[in-house]
Amino acid sequence: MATPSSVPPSTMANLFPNFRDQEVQSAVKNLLAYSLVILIVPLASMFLLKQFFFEALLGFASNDALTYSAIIAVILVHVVLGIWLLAATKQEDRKKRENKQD
Amino acid sequence: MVVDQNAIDGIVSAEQAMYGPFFGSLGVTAAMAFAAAGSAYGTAKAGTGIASMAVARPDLVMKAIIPVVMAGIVAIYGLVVAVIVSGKVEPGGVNYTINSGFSQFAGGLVCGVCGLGAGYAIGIAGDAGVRALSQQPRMFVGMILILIFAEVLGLYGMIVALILGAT
Repeated sequence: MATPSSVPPSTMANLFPNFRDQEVQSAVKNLLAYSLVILIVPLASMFLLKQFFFEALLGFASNDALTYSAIIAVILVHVVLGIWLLAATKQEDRKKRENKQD
Repeated sequence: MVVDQNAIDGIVSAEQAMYGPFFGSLGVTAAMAFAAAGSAYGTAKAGTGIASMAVARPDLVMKAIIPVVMAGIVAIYGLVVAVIVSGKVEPGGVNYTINSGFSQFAGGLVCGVCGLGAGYAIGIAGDAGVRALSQQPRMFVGMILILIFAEVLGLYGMIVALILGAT
């Protein structure tokens, strides 16, 4: 994203008027990270737990292993959602404090 | 009372009918398709709200995207039930009577339709919620509570589906 200042303000600046804004940039970065996590965590945990934990370690049958790993995956999704909510709330608090200091 | 062995054999073989897996597969389809439809509606409806409020407040995107995430979780419920039920479908026989097929069909349908309703509720409440959020940031907690209550409806469906499909 190291575009020199001589570039005419037609490309990035037109698409995202606020893209240089520090706040917007950190929000977008946070959003990308959390989105990837919430997409990958349930699917990966479901199939990896089934394969490597319930079947290999505990020796469950395939059907039982799938059911238990599915329940754990759904719980994990809600944990990630809770962390997301915490992060969103904290961001707001931090912004408020900075505004007060100004 | 005279027991007719032929009649008993007929009933037993009828319970192991070859169309049993058809209903099980239909349950898999219903779970995934209806849940995905609800999730898609919720994502689209909340997405239009986010698109119109984020023009003014792009810094709120982390909060405003939560209805979309919750709609996505509804689709995960459908996916989980579909994967579990599809692992249990097998050719009709002693281990797979039409009872199994019917209960899997019911499980898939209950998860799918509950997901459809939950996604619909999340879409409408999320749309209104994110528009209100741009005007009044204190609305966030209220929006989250509404969304959680909508989301839990899909979770109920998944629990019933797991109970039905596990038998």
